[in-house]
Amino acid sequence: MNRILKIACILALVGSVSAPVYALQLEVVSRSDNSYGTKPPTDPDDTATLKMNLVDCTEMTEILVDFSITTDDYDTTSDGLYFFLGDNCNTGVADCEQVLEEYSGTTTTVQVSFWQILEDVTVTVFGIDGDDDDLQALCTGAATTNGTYSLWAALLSDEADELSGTWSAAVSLETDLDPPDAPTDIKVQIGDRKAKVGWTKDDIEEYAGAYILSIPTTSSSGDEDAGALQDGGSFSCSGPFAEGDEWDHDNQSISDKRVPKSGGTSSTVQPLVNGVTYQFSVVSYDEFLNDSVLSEVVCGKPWGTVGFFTDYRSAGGTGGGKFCFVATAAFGDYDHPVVKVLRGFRDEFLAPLPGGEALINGYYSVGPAMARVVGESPVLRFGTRSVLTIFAGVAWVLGACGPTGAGLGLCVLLAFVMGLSFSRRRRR
Amino acid sequence: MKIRLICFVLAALVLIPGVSSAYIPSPQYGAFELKFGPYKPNVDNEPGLTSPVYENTFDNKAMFLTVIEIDYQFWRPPGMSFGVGASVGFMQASAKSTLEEGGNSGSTDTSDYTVLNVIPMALMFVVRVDVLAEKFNVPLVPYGKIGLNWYVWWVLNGGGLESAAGEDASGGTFGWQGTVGLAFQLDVLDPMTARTFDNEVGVNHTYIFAELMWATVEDFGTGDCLYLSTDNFFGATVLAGLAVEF
Repeated sequence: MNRILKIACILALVGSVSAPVYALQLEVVSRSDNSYGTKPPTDPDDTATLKMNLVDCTEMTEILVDFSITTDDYDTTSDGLYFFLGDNCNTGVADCEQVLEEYSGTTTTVQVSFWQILEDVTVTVFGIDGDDDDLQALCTGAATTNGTYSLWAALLSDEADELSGTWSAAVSLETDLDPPDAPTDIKVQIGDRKAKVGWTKDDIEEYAGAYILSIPTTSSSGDEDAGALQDGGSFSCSGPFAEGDEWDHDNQSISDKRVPKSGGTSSTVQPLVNGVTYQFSVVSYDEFLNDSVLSEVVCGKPWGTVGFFTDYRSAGGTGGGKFCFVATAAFGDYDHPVVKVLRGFRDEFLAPLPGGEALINGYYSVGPAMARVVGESPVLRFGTRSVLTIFAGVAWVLGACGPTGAGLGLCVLLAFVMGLSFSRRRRR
Repeated sequence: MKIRLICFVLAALVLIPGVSSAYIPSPQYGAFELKFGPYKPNVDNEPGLTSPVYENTFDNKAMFLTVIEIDYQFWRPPGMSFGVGASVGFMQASAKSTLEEGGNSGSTDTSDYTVLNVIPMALMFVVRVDVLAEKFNVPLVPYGKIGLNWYVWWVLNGGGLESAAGEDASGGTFGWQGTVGLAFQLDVLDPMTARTFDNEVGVNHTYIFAELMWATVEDFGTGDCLYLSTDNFFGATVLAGLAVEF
C-alpha cells in the first residue's frame, strides 16, 4: 500500500513539472482458450476490450497484454512500468489497485491472469482475504463480480528531481460469471438419419444462442415401447443426460451443434444412425458464452421416411425413374471430348452455384426423355451435336473464368448491350 | 365565362389528339409476361392408381405457379398480332414425410419433408386482338394461345432426390395447352409516361391481365408418366400477371 501512496504522490507532482513526452500503448493481443473452447467473442479490431466468462474464472485463463513504449528516453534503470486496475487511474490511483509488481523486463509483452485480476479486486472491493476457496466461491456464484474493469499501464520516472508520468489508454476487461437459464419446452421430431430439435427461450435473459447436445443411449427400452410417443416420435428414456446436470465437456460421446440466436430456436441434428435411440438436450449460452445446465431431456430414434414418390409408386404410379445423358446419346460416347467438357461444366461450374444442385437435379429429370428422342433420330443427333459443341465452347470459357468471373463478364456484356441499345434509340 | 371555358376544353380535346398523332411509336417485336396462379395437378387421375396419393400426401392443395413467357410477334396486321412464344415456370408442393414401416409406430410427424417440384415449359402460338385499344381507345386486349408443353418434375425427400425400387423420382411429361385471356392496357392511366417509356426503353404497351389456362399434361395418353394436367376449375386454372410489349 505504501508503494501505491508513493506513486500517487509522484502523480500529484506530474502536472506541475515539465516532463518528456512518452507514448505508451497498451493493447490486448491474445488470450488462451479455456478448456471448453468457450472464449467469449471479442471484436478483433477492438484491441482495448476483452471479455471473460465463468470458465475463464474457474480455470484462471490467462490473457496476454502487449505494450509498447515509443520513446528513446525510457531507461529501465530509472523508469518504472506499473499496471493498475480501476476507474480513471490516470487521474489518481487512490481507488486503483496495482496488479503485478513493478515491471522491469525487457520484452514488451506482459502476461496477466484473470485469477490475478480477480484476486486483487476482491481483496479490496469485497474485503476477502484472497485465499483460493473464497475466490472459487466467487467464480461459481457471486454476481457482484460481473462488471467492467479497466487495466492501465503507467510509465513513471523518478530521476534526479525530474518526475514524470505517462499513462496508456485503458484496456477494458468485461466479466460475466452468471450462466443463463436452460431452454424449456424441448421438442424432437425424428427423420431419416436426423432429428429436428426445438426449444423455447422466451424467459432467458441475455440469450445469445444454444447448443443441441445429443448422445446415443444403450438403453433398448423407454416409454417408446409403452406407447408414450409424443408428436414427432420422441419419448422419454434413460441415459447419460439428466436435466439440470452440467454439460460434461470431457465426454467425447456427446455431439453438440451450436445454434446462434439468429438461427432461431430449432435446428436439425445429422447425421444420426437410424434405429439407435438418442438422448437430446439443449444448453443455452449468453454473450460471454457462459453455458446453462442441461434442459429437459427428450429421446428419439431416427428412422427412414417415405415421400410422395414412394407412395405414388406403391399405389401403382408409373411415372419417373428414367435417366440418361443427352450429350452421351448425341455423341454416342461417354468419353467424347465435348461430353467431358460438359461434365466438367456441370461439376465445377454449375454445382457450386446457389441452386446449382437443384438445376442439375432438374436436368437429370429432363435428360431421360430428351435422350430417348435424340438417340432415335439421326437428324436430331446431328442438330444436338452441333448445338452442344457450341455450348461446350461457351462452357469451357465459363469454366475457365469461374462463376465470379463469368458473372462479372455477363454484367459487362449486359451493360454494353443495354448501352448500345439505348444509344441507338436516342439516335433514332 | 362559361363559353370561354367550353371553348378551352374543346380546343384541348382537339389539340391533344394532335400531339398524339405526332407521336411515333417504336417498332414492336414481341411481348414479355410474368404471371402467377394456383395449379392443382391431376396426379390422382392416372389410370391404375389404387389410392389418391396426391390428396393423401399434399392434402389436394394447389401449388403456386410462377411463369415467365416471351413471345415473338412475327406478323402484325392492323388490330392484331400473331406470334410464337415460349414459357417456363416453377411450382412446388411440400408436405411432411411419413415414417417407413417399422419406425416409431404411432408417430404422426417427422422432421423430413417430401417436395414435388415441377418446371412447366411450353411452346405456343399466340394471337392478340388489340383493335379495340388501337382503333376505339378501349384499353382491352383479348388474346388466345395454344401450344405444346413439357413438364419436368422431381421429388425430394429429406433434402435428397427420392427413389423407389431403384428408380429415381424424376421425369418429364408431355402435353398440350390452351389459353384465353384478357389484358387491360395500363397506358391509358398515364399516356405521357407510357410514351416516354416507349421512347426511352422501347416498351410499347404495358398490361395487367388474367387468363384461363387448360393444360393436358399426360404424355398424350401413352401412359408411364406422372399426370400433371390442370385440375383447378373445370379442368382449367387462372393465372394473372403483368405484361409488356416491346
